Amino acid sequence: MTNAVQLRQVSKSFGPVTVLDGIDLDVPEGSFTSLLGPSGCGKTTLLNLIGGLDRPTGGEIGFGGDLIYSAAQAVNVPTEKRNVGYVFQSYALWPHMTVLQNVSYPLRIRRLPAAERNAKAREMLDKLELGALADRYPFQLSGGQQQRVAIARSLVYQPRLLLLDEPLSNLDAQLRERARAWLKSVHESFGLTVILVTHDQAEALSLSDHIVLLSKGHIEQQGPALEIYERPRTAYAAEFVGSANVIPGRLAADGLSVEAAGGTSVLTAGPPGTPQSAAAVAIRPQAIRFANGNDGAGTIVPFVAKTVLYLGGLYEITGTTPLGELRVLSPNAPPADREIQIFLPAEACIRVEP
Amino acid sequence: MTDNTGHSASLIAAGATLPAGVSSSRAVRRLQAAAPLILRWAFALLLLALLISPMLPLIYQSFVNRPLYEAGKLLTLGNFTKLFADPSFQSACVNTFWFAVIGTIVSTAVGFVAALLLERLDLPGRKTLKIMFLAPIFVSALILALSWSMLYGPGGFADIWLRATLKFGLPNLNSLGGMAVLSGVSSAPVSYLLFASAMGNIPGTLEDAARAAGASPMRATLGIIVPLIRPSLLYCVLLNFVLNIDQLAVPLIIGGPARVQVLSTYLYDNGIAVKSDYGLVSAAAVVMLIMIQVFVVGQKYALGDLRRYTTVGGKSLRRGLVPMGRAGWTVSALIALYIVLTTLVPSLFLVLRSFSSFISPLVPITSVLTLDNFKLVFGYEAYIRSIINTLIVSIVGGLGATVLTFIGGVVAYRSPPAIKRLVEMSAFIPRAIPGIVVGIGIFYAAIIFPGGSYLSGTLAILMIAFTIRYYPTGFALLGPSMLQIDQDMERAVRVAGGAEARSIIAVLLPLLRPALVGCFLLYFVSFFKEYAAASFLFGPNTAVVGTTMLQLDMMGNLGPTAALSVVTLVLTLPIAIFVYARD
Repeated sequence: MTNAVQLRQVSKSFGPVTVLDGIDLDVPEGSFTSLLGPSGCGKTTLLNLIGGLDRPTGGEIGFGGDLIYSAAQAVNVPTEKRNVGYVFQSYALWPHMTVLQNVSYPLRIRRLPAAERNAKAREMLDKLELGALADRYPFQLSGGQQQRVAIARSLVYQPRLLLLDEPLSNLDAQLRERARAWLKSVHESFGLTVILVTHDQAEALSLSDHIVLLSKGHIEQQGPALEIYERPRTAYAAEFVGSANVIPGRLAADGLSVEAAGGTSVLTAGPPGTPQSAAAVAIRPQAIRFANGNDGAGTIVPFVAKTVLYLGGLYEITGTTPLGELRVLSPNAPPADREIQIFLPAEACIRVEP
Repeated sequence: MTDNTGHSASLIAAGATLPAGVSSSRAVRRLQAAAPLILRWAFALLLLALLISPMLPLIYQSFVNRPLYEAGKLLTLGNFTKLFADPSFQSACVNTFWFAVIGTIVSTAVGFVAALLLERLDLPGRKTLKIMFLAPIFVSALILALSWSMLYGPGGFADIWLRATLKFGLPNLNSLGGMAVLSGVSSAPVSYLLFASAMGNIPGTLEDAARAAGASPMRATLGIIVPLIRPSLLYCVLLNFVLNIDQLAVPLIIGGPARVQVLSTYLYDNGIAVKSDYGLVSAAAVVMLIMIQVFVVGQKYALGDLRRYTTVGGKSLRRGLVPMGRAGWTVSALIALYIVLTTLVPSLFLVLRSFSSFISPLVPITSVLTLDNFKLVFGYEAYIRSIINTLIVSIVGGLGATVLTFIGGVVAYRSPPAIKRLVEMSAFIPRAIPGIVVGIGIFYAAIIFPGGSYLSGTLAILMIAFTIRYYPTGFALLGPSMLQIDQDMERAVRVAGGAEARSIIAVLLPLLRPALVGCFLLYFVSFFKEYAAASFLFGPNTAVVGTTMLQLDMMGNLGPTAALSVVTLVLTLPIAIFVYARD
């Protein structure tokens, strides 16, 4: 598989503030890759560096076999020559142009004859089920429609790469679910390389084959979505993707149990690590069960519920344990004000770097 | 996707090639990358040079012992010693101080009260009263001064009428107090806009919170709004000081006959004198520059960002007004009376005066009605030429200034922060240069800069001077509109394959069109009214309406002066109202 985008040691700083530091990244041709992280982690900056809207302060960027940016070689192909599609968070539709004019404008820039560019633009609008809106102005469209027009505009000139900057964040919750499914089908039917910036882990997990988790300007972990969720490498990755409980501690002599600050140990699944090294345990709230005396390999700790929130079908219970505060998702409400035992299965206890 | 390990160190080493269209020479690539930045710096520096050009020759001249164009100049402080020893300069300084103090008090007080009443109370006829109150901004101070002097001056219509009917006359308008009051009245609308915009900047929720806590609308206004706009008071005072020091028409027309001289008229009289003392005039101009500088810097500290209150038009308040019931009619009537006495009657009187040979309460009006004044104005080639000149300067110069403002905005707001700061700073420099000083400065600049001799005595030099003078106003109007446009829309053009120039032409320009039209009209009206900067620059064939009116008035030809005023009003008033009352 070839790579649509390669980044080598890409960094970006604004004056004394370093926003991105030595980013190495390969985006495979045809993949759907998410740049995931909290606000301020540098994900949008990274997208802008790839799209050419911003200029790195060091490193190299390549598209396929083409060198697009190189600090050392003084190469910086300007945005307009990179042939990428970019969907802005605000959609940035040109308000003085109709939908059709918006979508055909990139073709006008490419000097296509009027008849041809209108035909191509209409074809694209039809594909995205926007044909009926061709003569409307952007302000006459709903948020969801605007988002589709923005995508149509960036697909019409067959870019080598589609960059999406939080395209779903301006939609309300219901619409967002639908738009997500739609976006996935667009990716599949156009067979395009897509890079998506998002702070929403659910969005990243459901849409992408690859997730690049960013934290404070560096890549925390990258890999297939499933791998990031099931085998987070660090406490940060575990907390950010799928919101795990994290129990910091130290690895016991057996190399498997992690001894928390209070002295209680939590058994984790292998492989064994170096005894006495600092380690942490990550466990998903839905993996914790009420103990029933027939639990198998794992750790049982006493638990006093403090707050119980009904989420519809599930209870989110926060309570105190000798391991610190833990969050549990359970179909049953716990008895009020009484200590119970909860069970942390060893196979669900992931050992992560603190 | 591989992990962080296993990357080759460089893409070049891994066989990456330069895409088509990228130069193979590294030096060329570096130059291409730097070109947009070099262009921007060049423009920013040229703009700075243009906008400070009136000051440098003046400052230089004030420290040398001979006129700029002579050889063998020596550095000296002699000009300043001579200036400070001049008794008429000393009295001009004292007069300027009192003129500015009284004018500021009148303008600030009237503006504050009017803004509070018209913006916060539910008065009958509120909108009309507001536009009428703001009218003096539309009319130049020159015209207001002429009309006041014809109506309220000693021997003016109102004065004679009162003496004839009530046996007592008006206090003498041709005095320091009289001119200060008129100056205050003419700048009261500026204070009004300042307070109105300060009120508009107060979040409505603060007042709502007071209402929810049980305060009546009136109490919420007095308890929340008034204290919150108090910081603007200091800014308003400083601004009015600048406006008063800058004022030329009022001291010239009202103070002239009484020989009350302030700094601007001292400069005017000495500057246009036949054997003018370059050194003395420059020294006086420098003193004036320094005085203004003090207040402008003060303004900056009073509010931080100068631009916050400079956009005229002001936000309209979309919140509940204090209901007034019957008392509202009384308040409205009082405001109307103020407007009638200060603006409406003088303006109408001026119109009437332009259609008559002579006006006196002792002579029936029907016997003096005539079109002679207009016949004179339109029958005399020099007057027609000054009208045509003014139109050329306003239209061509206004367009040029608009283009320059647009480029300035693009360079400021689509560039790295250092360039933005430089352009913004440059754009506001002329705010601290009085109009008359711009005139003298450009006059001197044309003498010493190479090629300047081709400019002097042409309309082009007037356009340059007017552009410098009003650049801050135009920039303050256009800048915020430009900031409001989401830059992503231009970036979308870039991503879609368009170069930077295309993104500006295809998106920025059409979206900015209303603001650009407003900016042009503002320049048009301002250039049309300008006389102070022109008084040193116009030649035999390049007089403008403002300078012609001043000359006619000096010669006592009130009829043609009134007629020219009416022509000016007819050509500028509709545009001015359109610009200022658009909201």
